[in-house]
Amino acid sequence: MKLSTLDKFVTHLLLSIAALVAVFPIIWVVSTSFKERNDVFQTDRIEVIPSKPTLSAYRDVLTMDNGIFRRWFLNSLTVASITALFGVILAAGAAYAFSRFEFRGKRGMMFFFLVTQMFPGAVLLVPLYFLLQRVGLLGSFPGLVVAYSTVGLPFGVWMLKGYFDTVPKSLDEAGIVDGLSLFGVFWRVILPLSLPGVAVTAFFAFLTAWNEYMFALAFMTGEENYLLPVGMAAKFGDQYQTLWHYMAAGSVITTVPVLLVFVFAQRYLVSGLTQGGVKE
Amino acid sequence: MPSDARPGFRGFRRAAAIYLFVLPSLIPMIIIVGIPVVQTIFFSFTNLKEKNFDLWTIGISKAGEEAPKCAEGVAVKMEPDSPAAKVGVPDGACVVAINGEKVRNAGALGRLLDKAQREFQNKKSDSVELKYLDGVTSEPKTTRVQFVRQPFDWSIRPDRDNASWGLVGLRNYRNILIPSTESNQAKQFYRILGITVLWTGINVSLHYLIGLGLALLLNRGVAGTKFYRVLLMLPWAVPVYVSAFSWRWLFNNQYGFFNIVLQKLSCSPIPWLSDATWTFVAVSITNVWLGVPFMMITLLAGMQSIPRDLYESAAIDGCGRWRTLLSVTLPLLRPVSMTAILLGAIWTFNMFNVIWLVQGGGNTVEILATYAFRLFRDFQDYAGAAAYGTVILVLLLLFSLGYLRILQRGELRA
Repeated sequence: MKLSTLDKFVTHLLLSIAALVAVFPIIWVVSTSFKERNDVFQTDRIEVIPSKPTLSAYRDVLTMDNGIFRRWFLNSLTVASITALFGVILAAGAAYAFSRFEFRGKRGMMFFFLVTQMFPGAVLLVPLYFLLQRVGLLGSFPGLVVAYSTVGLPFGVWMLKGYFDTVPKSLDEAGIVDGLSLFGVFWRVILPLSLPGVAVTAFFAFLTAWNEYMFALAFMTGEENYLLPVGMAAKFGDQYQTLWHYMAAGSVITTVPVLLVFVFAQRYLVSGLTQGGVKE
Repeated sequence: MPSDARPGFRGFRRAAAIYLFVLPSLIPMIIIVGIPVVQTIFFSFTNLKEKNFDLWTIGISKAGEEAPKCAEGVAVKMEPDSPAAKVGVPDGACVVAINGEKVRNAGALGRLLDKAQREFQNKKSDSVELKYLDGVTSEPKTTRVQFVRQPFDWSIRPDRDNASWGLVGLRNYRNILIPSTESNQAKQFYRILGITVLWTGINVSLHYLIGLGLALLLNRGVAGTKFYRVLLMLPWAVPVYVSAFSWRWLFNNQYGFFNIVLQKLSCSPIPWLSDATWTFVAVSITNVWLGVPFMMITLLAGMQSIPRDLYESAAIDGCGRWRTLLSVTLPLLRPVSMTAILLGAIWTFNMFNVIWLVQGGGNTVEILATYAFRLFRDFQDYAGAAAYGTVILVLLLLFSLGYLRILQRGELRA
């Protein structure tokens, strides 16, 4: 469809406004993180670009209490990385089966995955708490990893299935003619051809753990065992008083790594969704 | 050659192989999600409440890193007025043995304390023997500490094994669903249900309309589309608690961006997060901001899989822009839209994080999911929370089944 100059102008205008709305809250946090305490609590001035930029909030956040924040960062990084690894390993098999085969119970299983999304996680917290307590994983990082990699599974399976669907079935058959087993087809044909999709799925599993707040709050005790969200909420802000500049600096440190990966990975995300993830 | 021609791929062995692929995700899903869901449904027929949780403790736990290092044993933190404090164990004391077993590290401390608690619960003993180093003399001292009952506290570990509770049939559901004169539980439920339905309806509609609009704009392919797309997707990548914090900060009554701007424009400030209606507006704005990228990308993906020649023939037939949108794009987008709307509705209905975090844990606006959590956390009514969870599940199941049914009927007609 040919676009007139006016059309182009209107398109750019609308997209720019939308992009500004999308980005502004992020910019505002970044701006707050470079301000002094006194400049944060202003009731009559707006400074999107701080007039006296300072790194003091970052310095304070990174050094307070013998660097407890760095400890939380490391905790989160460890838990999220292992969750990503586990999440993909667990999801890949089911995604392959759902993508390639008809088998008894397939519809039931897909429905079960959907139903699990309907139960409020906040209520599930309690039996999960008892379960982890019973097997001795309460308050431990392995317990969190197990919970996160499972909770993220339906979305992971759904995404990976979309990527696997894009690999032509004729390649499977060629593999089988060449003497590959079902696992061989999966391992040597499907997986290598969907590596970007696998990476994106791993990234989303990573995000699940990196962003999660409630389980981490309920299951972990002891300040040195906190993950980033819980630690930041406990240290910098609650219902009554929030240290906005610390919260902002902490948020920036937390967000920048995932944002960088996201910008890099988003084109694979879009292609995966295009190719089949949403065609079901 | 079809794959089934190979002997190993037929019948039982093939089926077994397929199930082997599925099990690694099915088993954890059943254990970590399936069983807890079933348990919760079961608990919704009981009276598991605070007074039925008995928590017994001696009130010590591992000290933080600020405590001095111990030459031997592990430093412990003392709850104020705890039994251990009362018999004279000082805060920061180094515990070297519990019930005669050596405490070598922090893990051993937790394990031995748990073990002592279990022995107590099994009525094998009513106290625990602590051996610790005296802070001043570094002499080992031994003392016995009695267990005491503690009010149930989420930050301490509840123990179901020690709780006494029983089945009460449909009582929890009757309380929630059937209005009565003596309690306003049912009134509360229907009020929050109304808010939840309104919340879901408004949010999903806005997600869809804005997402569709942006996807259509991106699909025009003007210069810089990729750049716009990345920027528009950013809200998706930011951790939810960071976004929630950011919006809470923007909405802050005194120092928030919006109210300062309003004042500059000589308007009166808006009580964003204290007035119920404005809080609803504020959390909705946050959630719309959060949810649009998913809808936009899903719809854009759907649009890009519509064959180009359909647009060309529409153009040849003289269809204008609106006509093409209504008779080509939207009908072909229908399957994608329907899936995305269903998922969006389910997620929004249970959107705990946004409601909870933007209000900083406050409860000016509540949906069913946050109220269920509050029932448990503030009122320790676990059975009530479980009943709420089950009602939510049933409502969403009915909604999904009805929705899918309408969807299928529509497809038959088309």
